[in-house]
Order: sequence, then C-alpha cells, then structure tokens
Amino acid sequence: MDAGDVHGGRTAAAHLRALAAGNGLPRRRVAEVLEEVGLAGAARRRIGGFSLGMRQRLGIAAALLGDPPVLLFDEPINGLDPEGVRWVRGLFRRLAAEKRTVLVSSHLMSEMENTADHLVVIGRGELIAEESLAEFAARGTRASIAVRTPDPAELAAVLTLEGAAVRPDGGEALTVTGLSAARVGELAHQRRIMLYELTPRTASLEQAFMELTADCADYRAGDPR
Amino acid sequence: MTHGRFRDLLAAEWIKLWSLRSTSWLVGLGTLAIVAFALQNSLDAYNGWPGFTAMEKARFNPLTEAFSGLSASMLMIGAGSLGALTIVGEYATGLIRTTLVAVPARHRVVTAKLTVVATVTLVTGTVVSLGTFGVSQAILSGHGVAVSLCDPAVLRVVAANALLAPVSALTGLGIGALLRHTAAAVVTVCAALVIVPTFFQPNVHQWLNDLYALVPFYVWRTCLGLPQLRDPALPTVAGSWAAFALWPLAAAVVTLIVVRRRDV
Repeated sequence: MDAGDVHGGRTAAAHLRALAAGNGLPRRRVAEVLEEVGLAGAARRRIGGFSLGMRQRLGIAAALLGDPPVLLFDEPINGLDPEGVRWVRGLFRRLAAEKRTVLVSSHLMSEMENTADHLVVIGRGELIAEESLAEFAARGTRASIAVRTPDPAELAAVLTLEGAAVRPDGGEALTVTGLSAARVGELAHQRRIMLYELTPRTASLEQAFMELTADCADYRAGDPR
Repeated sequence: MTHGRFRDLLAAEWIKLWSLRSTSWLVGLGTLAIVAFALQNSLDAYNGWPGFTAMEKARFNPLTEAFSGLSASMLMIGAGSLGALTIVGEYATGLIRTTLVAVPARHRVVTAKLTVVATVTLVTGTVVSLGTFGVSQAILSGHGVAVSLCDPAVLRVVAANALLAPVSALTGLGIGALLRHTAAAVVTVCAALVIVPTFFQPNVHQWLNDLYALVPFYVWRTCLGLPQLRDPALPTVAGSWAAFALWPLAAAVVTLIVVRRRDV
C-alpha cells in the first residue's frame, strides 16, 4: 500500500475502519494502531488535511492493522519529521524483537545503518549482496587512518617502509591504510615526529554501497554488447 | 491478507460510502428537495383547482404533481452521480490500490460495492417515491382527486419512480468504472441518463421508437410513469421493465470486467 493512496475526504479512523472491516478484523484494532502510530488525537480529522509525515504514519497504521508476521515498508522514512524518524526506528526494532520479519526498502544508507540487521542490495534487478550489516560494511574500503602532522613527507616515508599505503591529502594531512592506528602512533613516536591528529576511519555503509554498485556498473560496462 | 467474507466486504463498502460527508448531504438534501418540490406542485394544483377548466380537470394526473419529469431528472442525476462517485472517488484518489491490496479478490470487492450502492439507492428511491406520493395525496385529497396505492397502475408508477434511483446509480457506477475521472463521469451520467433521452420523442419511425424503448428515462416518461397507457406505439410495460433491468445489469457486467482487467 502506498501511504498516499487514501481518500482525503475520510477521517483517519473511517479509512482504517473500512480496511479492518473488509478483512474481518475487530474494530478495536483501529484505535490500537492509531494509538501506536501516534495519530490517536487526529483519528477524527479528515486525511485531506494531513501532512506527509502523518500520512506515512497512517500508512504504517494500515499495515499494522492485521497484526502481520511479515511487514514490508517501502521508503517509510520519507516525509517524517525528526521525531517521527526516531519513532519509526524504534517501531521497526520493536516489531523485529516481537519475532516479526520487517523488510524496509530505502535509499537512505545512513538510516539503514541505524536500523537494519541484515542487508539485501539489488542493482538493476540483480542481487548484489545479501548479508549482515557488519559483513557488508567490511566489504567497503579497508579501514583507513587520517593523520595530520607538520612533517608529512618524513612520516610518509617511515610508514611506507613499514608496508603501509600512504596517500597525501594535501597540506599536513595523510590517509594511511594497511597499518593500525596504534602502530602509526608508535612509529611516529619512535621517530619523534609530532602528530596533530590520528583518527581511525571505518568505511561507512554508504561508501561500501557506492563501491559495490560501482563494481557492478563497471563489470556491466565491460560486457560486449 | 484474507480473501474476505462477503459480509465483511459489504461492511467495508458501507463504511466507505457513509464516511464521506457528501453521501449524507446528497441523500438528505436530495430527498428533501424532491419532496419539497412535490409539496409545492401539489399546493399550486390544490389552490388552482377551482379555476381549472372541465378538460383540465378530466386530464388531471395527481401522480405528476407528486413526481414530475423534473423530479425524475433530479433523482436520476443525484443517484447516478452517487453511483459514479463511489468508484471514481477510489480511482481518482488512488484508494483503489489500497482497497485491492487489502482484498485482492477484485470481483468480490466490485460485487460488494454494487450491492451496497443498489441497496442504499433503492431505499432512498423508495423513501422519495412514497414521500412525494404521501405529501401530494394528503394535499390533493382535499378536492377528492387523490388516488390509492391499491390501484395496480398507481402502484406501478410509484414502484417505477423508486426504481429510477438504483437503475441510475448502477449505471453511474458503470460509467465511473469506465471513465475513472470525476468530472467526466458526472457529465456523462447527466448526459446519458437524462439530457440526451429528454430529446427522444415518439415519432413515425417505429425503429427509432423501438430504440428509444431501451432507454430508462424514455420508458419512464412514456410508459412506467403514467397511470393510463393509451398509445400502442409506445413502449409496453413489460418491455419497459426490461429496459429498467438492462441498464444496471449491463453496467454491473461492465464494471466487473473493467475493474478486473485494467491495471490500477
């Protein structure tokens, strides 16, 4: 169901009552789901005057009516206010904790990082990845370390000798891969090189996603047509 | 989700119909307007009666004072629009997608909708018909020109007046299912049910008369709505009832087919 597929002339309660009646669900479910999505106060207001976020909540209420074991949400965060985003995150976690399957489709990678346990990535109709969030994130660029030092050239030489890959980022900054942050700090200390910053960076979900789908696109571009 | 027991689907359609404020307004004000119209016509006739010529008195048809051609037009347009809006409202807003996701058995959803619309408009039509008849008779009986429901011809007229509502409503629903556009559906309902048939007049071409005899408003005007039938060239009572049955049945079949076959 699309949350926008409603008749604006009906009240939220009447809309849900009709859906509940058609599926033989008890009428009390309407009040329960409205309470659950935070629309109890707007139950008797007509949907035409609802904001996008309120419509999303109403759509989620409709999905919850039948107390289903499997829930599919397509971009449920669209149009929700910050409070609503937090609420929906909590709701999904709670539904999952109740042993339901919750499938959320979204383009908001950072949001999925906060919500999902398990990821399915589909590109051009093909399954690209299907694994846990941690596994997926690990596919991205290996963890790198951001370093700032007044003497980047010397530090780069030292770290390269130790087997690290060093990329100068201009000015005092370097990006180091292949060494742990502790080892970088240790080496700098031994050579008496001053460090301004030493920050381990893990690849974000978004980065991992971009790299993975870019691979997919490259592979396709190589195909003879 | 479940396929839905038919009783549940009827309940859903019932809620959807009455949870739109336009339904109560249309049914309430429409009924009031037509009954008030009967009241006014009958009072005019009552007050004018002493001045009527003998010919006018002989030709006087009290049933026309209760429910005239204008009353029939109002009832048909109102009921036809109500029928059209029940389905166009779903398509125009996208609600139809939600409805058919919740209950994927499309033919059962449509059958429930047709049933609810037919029932509601049949009851409304009966209230209008009996209401106009009662008001008018109460006034005209003062001059002793009232008629009785026990007269089979009178009963036929009253029944035909009532049936105009469900016949129009189901036809409207069929037009709505075909067009899926609010303004286009309402205009087409008015044109097909009332405006175009208003221009149909009995004439010397019998094939044209036979064609007209398929149109509900025409058969109501020339046969079912009249207590006395004199002209054999005009539609028969049985043929007229058949025309009354044909349109809603055809509309129901069209609705079932298009809702099933077309994508939402």
